[in-house]
Amino acid sequence: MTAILTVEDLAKHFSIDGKVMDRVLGKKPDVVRAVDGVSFSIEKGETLGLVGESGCGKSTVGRSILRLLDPTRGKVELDGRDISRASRRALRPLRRHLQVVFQDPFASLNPRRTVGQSVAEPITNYGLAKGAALRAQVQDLFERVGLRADQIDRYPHEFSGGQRQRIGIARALGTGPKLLVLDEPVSALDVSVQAQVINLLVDLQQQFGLAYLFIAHDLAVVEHISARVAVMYLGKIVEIADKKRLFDSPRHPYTKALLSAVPSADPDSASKRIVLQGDIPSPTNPPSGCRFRSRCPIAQPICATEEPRLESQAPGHKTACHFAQLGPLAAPSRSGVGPDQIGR
Amino acid sequence: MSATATTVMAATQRKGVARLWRRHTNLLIGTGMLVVTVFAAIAAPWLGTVDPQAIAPFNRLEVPSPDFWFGGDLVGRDVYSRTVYGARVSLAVGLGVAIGGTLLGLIVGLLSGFVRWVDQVLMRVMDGLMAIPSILLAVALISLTGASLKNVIIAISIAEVPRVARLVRSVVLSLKERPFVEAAVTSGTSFVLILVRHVLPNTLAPLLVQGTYIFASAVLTEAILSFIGAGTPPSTPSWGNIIAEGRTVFSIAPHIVLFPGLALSFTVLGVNLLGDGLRDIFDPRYVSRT
Amino acid sequence: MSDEPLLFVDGLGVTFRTDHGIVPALHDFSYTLDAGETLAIVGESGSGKSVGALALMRLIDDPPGRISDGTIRFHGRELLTLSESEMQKIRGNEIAMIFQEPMTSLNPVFTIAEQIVEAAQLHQDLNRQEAQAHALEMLQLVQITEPERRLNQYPHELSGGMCQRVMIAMAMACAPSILIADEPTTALDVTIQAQILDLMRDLKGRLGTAILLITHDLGVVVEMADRVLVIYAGRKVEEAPVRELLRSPRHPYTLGLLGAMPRLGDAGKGQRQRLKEIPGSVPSLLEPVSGCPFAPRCSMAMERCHAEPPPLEPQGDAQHIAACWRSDEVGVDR
Repeated sequence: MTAILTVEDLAKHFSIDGKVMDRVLGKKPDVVRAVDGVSFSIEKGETLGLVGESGCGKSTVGRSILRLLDPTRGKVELDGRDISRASRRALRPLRRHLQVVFQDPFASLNPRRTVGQSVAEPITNYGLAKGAALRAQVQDLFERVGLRADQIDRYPHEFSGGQRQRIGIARALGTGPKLLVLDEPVSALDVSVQAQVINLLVDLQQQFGLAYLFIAHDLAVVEHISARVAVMYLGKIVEIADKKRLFDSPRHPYTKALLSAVPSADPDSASKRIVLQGDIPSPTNPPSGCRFRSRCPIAQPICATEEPRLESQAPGHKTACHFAQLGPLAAPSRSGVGPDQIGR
Repeated sequence: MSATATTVMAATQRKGVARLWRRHTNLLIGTGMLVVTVFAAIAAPWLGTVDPQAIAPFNRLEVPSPDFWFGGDLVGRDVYSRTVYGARVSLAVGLGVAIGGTLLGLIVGLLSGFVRWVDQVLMRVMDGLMAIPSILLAVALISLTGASLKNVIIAISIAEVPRVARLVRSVVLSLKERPFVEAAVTSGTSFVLILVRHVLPNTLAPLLVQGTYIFASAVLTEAILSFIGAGTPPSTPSWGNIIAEGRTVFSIAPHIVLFPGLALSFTVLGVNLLGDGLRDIFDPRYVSRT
Repeated sequence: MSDEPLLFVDGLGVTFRTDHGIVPALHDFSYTLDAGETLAIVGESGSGKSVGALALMRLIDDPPGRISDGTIRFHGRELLTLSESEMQKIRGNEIAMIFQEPMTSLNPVFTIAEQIVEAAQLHQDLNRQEAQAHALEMLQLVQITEPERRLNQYPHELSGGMCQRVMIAMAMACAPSILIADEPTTALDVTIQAQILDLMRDLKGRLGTAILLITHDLGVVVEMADRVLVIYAGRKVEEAPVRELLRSPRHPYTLGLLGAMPRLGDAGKGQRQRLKEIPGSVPSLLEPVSGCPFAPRCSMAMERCHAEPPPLEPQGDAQHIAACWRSDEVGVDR
């Protein structure tokens, strides 16, 4: 199976501008390790969901892949071609195949250009169509995303949030991309509109064989649209598996806590909620060893000294935890590494 | 068209005008005032003026009268003619500085916004310029280059550049982060096109508003420079000059200071109102409310 | 104990004057709230749910807004005719409110202590020391970590979850009978949301506060509320006890909302289900509504729906009401 996107040990660090006096005194500036060694791959036509809470670095992963940010470390390959270290000039033809849909439908369109112009921009950048053919193509894209073709000469403020998001999707499709990075594409939309856009994304994926990197914090939405899901915490992937396995039988304590924290709309489900204590630590100063240990209900001394690696626990299911196990969260057995327990 | 329809149409049109007036009071008044000044400047020779430089000692300190609308100054020149012709100088300076300062500030602001290390250097230079009161800065520059209309415009422009540069820089910095600019980058749009299509159009509105304020400020600054003798040569009628000359005889012949002073206030007020009106139009919240 | 509910709202109408006309943000809106119970108001953006809460506290800016009709009785007392100073004695004291964005709802230039103390001192006769002690108590009540330290910190030094706890502390400082929570956890991370919801349930249990919860998240409703009210285009379209509503919704809009939300665990149950869409979008409230406001988007709409607005009718159970001409057919094929 050929992967359309492979990410190897991707890292992005930001150094916070220190005060001049600190630099004079020789103090090193703070570094935010927003993404600190992330690896995964996406197959052609597949959706990988990337979830996590604020500060986990999921948006930074997306932006680093898109080269809106330059990675500090690591390699990203799109269809076998390196895009993480390519020069801007070499990058340009490759960008055709990698497009983006942003979260904020209001800010992702230039208010001073018509929506038709915005959608046409990627197409004209690559010289794919001109004049009447271009116009026809833009109209076709509009119809594919469920908008009327006669609206291409209007301005963004004349559309609703859901419609603007559709326009953003139309723009992303113009160059015939192979992979779409979607950064919280439905978070800013109302529930009923969200459903429309999600259905649209699923339809388009089937029509065009698109692969999606779906970045979101809403677990239910991610479960609905993804084939595989990766969970991030403080710059690292803590668990990655195909959807069914991750949601039905999570192994990492954070994943379990995250899933149990989602308010259930099913009044009959017994909610044995795991409530994590404390707040998410700052990415400038993550805990030593396993980053989750400061909030982990089953943390042991080894968790502070040794950082767990992302390892396969089952086919296609990797977890980064010294005590990864199936079943409800329980203190690990005395021997240190918890054996797999089946059944709940 | 039936009679009722025409009446209704006329009524809607009247209502439309009233609404226009209500919404854009500042803009309309300001524009009107500016038009008056521009008209005066352009049509000066035909507005009942005489040669503003013509000395007529017979009319020294002549009090305003039906023959001598604004009276005579210290050497008998017609204050009215000098005031009207003075509009030319003021408007030339205002426009020149507004355009020159804005263009230069735009370039500096764009460079600072996009190139990090240039930003550090340029902004410190701007800080330095801003630390010096603009009048003193202009005086210093003029003392280097000599007093003339051209040098006055250049000097005041330089003093105004930092404000524009900071404005443009902040717009650029905020735009760089906006998703639609990022979308353009991922779409493969070249840097130049991003500048032209996405950045510049969004800087135009604040620049235009700022431009009007610079205009007003420049007119005032020129007047002050002339007043202290560091502006246009004394023979050229400029409101500042006239006021400067009239200063010494203010107690016995206040009209020499009064009329150019009124003209100055009128013009600056008009331009400021125009600027306020433009700012309101460009404010997206204002637009949605109306 | 009288039969009068704690809060009685009847026929509330709120309008806003805009340059394009008068917008009826809320129309004929009625509900009751008993002591200690939690009522959730569910709606999407523009439905008028927040307006209802602000109207309760008389916080609608007049102009351009206006409470045009209705009556609001709190402890049997009519609120709409009270003077501003009398209303101030109630706000923060007997009825308190917490908002959606905790980081921006706190004044950035005052310390946490100052903000809680302000609320306490305004309504209770405490001197500075007593108020400070009370503030500390409140912080402990909301289970914030290191409460003594927090007192002297500023909002920007606190995380979103902590800010929300502070807001709750401020709101509960005077032990109000009603707490209005407007999307209290929408801006928070899921794990923090869980903490806050737990806290609110705990406080409700201990202090017996009634909660008016405004949200769009049905999961939160299930967790927190006893009864739920669905609002669409400024009108109440359905109201029922929570379980009842989820089991058998009787309004097409409610059914649509339930179908449109992806639920955790759904996908595991079998093949991927397409989310049920509600076609179209929320109507502009500027246009006058004839008939049912949801009719243009309703898959079950008949001619009568476009002409005559359906009244709220009990659906078998007196506690369950819905405004639909075909309510008995809703969800039959579920």
